[in-house]
Amino acid sequence: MPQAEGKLKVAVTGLNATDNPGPGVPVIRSLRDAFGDQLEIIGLVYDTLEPGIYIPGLANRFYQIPYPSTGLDAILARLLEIQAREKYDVLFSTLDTELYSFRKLAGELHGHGIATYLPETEQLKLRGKDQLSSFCSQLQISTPKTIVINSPSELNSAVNEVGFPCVVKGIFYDAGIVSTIDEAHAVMNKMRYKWGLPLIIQQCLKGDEYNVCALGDGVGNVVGAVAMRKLYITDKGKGWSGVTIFDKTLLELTHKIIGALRWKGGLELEYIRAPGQSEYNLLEINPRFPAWVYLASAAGQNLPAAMVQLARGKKIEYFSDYKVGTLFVRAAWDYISDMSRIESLSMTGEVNG
Amino acid sequence: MDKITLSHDVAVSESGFMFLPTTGESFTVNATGRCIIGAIQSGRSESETLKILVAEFGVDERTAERDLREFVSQLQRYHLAQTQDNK
Repeated sequence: MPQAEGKLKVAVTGLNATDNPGPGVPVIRSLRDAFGDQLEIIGLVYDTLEPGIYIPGLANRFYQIPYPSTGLDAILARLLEIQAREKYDVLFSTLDTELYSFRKLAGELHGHGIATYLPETEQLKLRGKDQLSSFCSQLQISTPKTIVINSPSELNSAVNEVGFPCVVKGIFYDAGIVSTIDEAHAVMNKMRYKWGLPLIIQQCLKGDEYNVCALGDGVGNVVGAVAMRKLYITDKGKGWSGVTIFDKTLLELTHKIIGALRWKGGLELEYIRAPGQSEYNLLEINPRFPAWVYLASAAGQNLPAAMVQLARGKKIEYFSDYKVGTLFVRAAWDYISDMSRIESLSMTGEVNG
Repeated sequence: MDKITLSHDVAVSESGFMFLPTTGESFTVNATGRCIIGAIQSGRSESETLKILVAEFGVDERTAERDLREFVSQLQRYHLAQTQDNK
């Protein structure tokens, strides 16, 4: 529930604006565009070197929180400790790895005046990378051949069936393209030590990559959706520049997927399409806004702001249009700071913005 | 040659920059390409377009015809234009 007086306070995670960026920084930028001076941002960080901490004016205060692997009790205790200090209205989760924990805590958080807007655990499971094949098959959506392996001994038969080159993916993050069985084993070992099992072995399709950033209202409707074509892709597969496009097929697919999942919250759909082909292959359904979400805001659909309003129980108008041809280009920019910021965060768990 | 029309959704600027909003692809065309696209947009026939090319660029009609056909073929390959049967 928002405070009767004073500013809207939103706590945002995912300030790791690295070369594998979290969506927190563009989410905050979108919220500041929408709410201006009437907004205070509380940055929730896991690591003292998350770059968002060092962007002047990004958040009013930053607090360190425990990693999801620490357990629900520790996370809840810290979130409530911060709540006692800040009285924030909305917790805006942006990272795959924390979603399950925050979903489980949503009821308790709500009881303490903290609103969230999160998919149900069942929805999270249905769109999981390990469920993609069966999900796509049910909806008759094309997807690359995908095999889930639950033990290292299953790797050889999986890559034999999928064929080379193929992609080895972690259950939450990371992916590596491999062309030989030795490479496959090397990437598998790296992934399983980092993210655990299962791992996903996916056919590697060549083509142009298209993404859709969307917001679902939890009862099957699309609040807004913006499609983008990646123009430049880093060696980690991250879109470093892109342009908004309008393709009816992509948006129809978005409605189909959000409708089937009855998705609640932000979502990113990743597709690939071979040159000259009309068919899109769905690569992934990411259960949160992408790091390029500010492009959607700039093109006319401020989806993070809409989600905050929905979390607060406000009625909003759903989006119907956006500006095609809006371009984003990400840039590397060095911020200069002082060790006292790291000191403050390390010693007290908080630092001012 | 059949009647040529640009794809309805392609955006063309005066500078010769073309953007296809359904795919996000962009293209640049030179002065000859701009001239041909201008002729297509204003509904000129093939023979009228050839006359314009000959007058604008000082080439013989045979060269102009070859260039026109090659350019139109490229436009079609990238889904920027289509031909309509005049018969």
